Amino acid sequence: MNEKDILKKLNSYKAIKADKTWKKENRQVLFNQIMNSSSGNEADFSFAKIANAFKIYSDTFYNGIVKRMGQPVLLTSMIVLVVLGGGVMSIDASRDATPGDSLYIAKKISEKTKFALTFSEKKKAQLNVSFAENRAKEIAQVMADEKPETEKQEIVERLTGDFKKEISNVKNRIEKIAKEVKETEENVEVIETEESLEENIFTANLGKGDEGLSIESEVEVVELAEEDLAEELAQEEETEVELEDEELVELAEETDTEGASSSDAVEEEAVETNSQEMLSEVRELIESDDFDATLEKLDAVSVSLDKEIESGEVKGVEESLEDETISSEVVEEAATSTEEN
Amino acid sequence: MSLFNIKDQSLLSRLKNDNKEAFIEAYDLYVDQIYRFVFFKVGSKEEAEDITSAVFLKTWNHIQETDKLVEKTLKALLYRIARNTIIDHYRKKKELSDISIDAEDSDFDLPDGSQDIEAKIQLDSEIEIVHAKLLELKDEYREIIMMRYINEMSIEEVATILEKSKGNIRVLTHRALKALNELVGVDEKK
Repeated sequence: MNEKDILKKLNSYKAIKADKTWKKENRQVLFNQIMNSSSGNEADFSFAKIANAFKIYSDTFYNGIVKRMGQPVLLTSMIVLVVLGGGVMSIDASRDATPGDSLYIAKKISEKTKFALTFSEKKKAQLNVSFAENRAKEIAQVMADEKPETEKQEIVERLTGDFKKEISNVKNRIEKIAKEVKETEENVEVIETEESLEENIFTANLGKGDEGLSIESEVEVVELAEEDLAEELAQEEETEVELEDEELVELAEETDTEGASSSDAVEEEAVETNSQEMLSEVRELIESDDFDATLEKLDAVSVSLDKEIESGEVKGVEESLEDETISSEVVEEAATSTEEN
Repeated sequence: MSLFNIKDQSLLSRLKNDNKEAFIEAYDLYVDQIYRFVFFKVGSKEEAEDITSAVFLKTWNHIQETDKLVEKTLKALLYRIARNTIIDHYRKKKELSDISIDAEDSDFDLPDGSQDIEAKIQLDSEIEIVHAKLLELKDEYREIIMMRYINEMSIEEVATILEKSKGNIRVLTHRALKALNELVGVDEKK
């Protein structure tokens, strides 16, 4: 017998199996025992389960968070989260606050923060417009509130003051931007003409140089080229300067006429439209960089708000509320479109 | 084999979740090989049945009570518990016989289950020889031959159950088979 034979013989041991009836009976016995043991556990369910749950909780909590509290990165990030999260949430809650509400101060602070974090003048102007829009909304809300008339009047007055402040801020900002834009436009013109001049000189030089090389000796070429250059430069400068002047005059005329026509249109419109609609137009005008017209419009807006508040109080709460909400929607739309740009 | 492992793993995880049906499935899957393993060691049908029954119950309790099992498979856990239970069984038997006044029951240390095994298998003469020699082998070799060639376990499985390295198991298997071969050969020459 070799190893293979032995292994074959060993295979026959596989025939050894537990008795079938015993297996069946034993299975039932075991199953019953398990059921009993676990039903016993269920009796003192409350303690065991709670203790177990607490164990799992404390394990994961301790291992997962408390242990890592010692690590500065997690600690700082959690503090940052609490601070920022808290800030964001409270500002969110304060969004619909009106003067007199405890959260109104949070709203104001969030507006100021937003403003402080904005650096472009154009965006600042847009923020001022949206703040003005907020004031307008608040006026509508206050008017809808069930409060004594005198109290309402006080708040509305205060809000109107704020509104006008915002509008004048927008105005100042727009004036500033308009000035800057004009200056830079002029600068750009000048730089462009200078650049084109240089280009011409360069090409002239090259052309002459090539010709010279093909025909004459080097020295002569240089002399000739210099002469030519001098002549050409003189000519070109003259024409360029002339051109420049002409262009500037034309440009100035264009801007003048544009400004005049648009401001005329604004004045005509101002009589009819209300302040909120005008605000939305203001936004559009800022968008299209038409600053003169924007300024005109802004004046009209504050005038019409005064009128509206007067007439609104006379007309009654509901009508003015409608006006305010509709117009604020329009303003919002305008705001989103500016953001897209 | 891998499919079998998946089955083993799913059973183990279900058992951890207090699943009683999984216990029955595990019982049906492993009862024969555990019984065979135990029977091989204790040699008597009644004892093997009792111990096998105890092994499954102990395994269930162990899984419920232990948070983190050392064994990666249910099979390894069953065999480990079976070995421990058999050791306990012999210890108790020895204590009993020590206390017992009449010491006529002296066959406690090594199983001499030849009669039971013979009853189970239609033994031809060669099987009889192998079986006799198997009983002459030392416990360690017999256990390895049992696990590797009768219950057809992988070297890795045997290694985890016996808490030895794979290399060690390879060497042991080789030596066990060689020893058995020699014993049978000596017998043949006679």
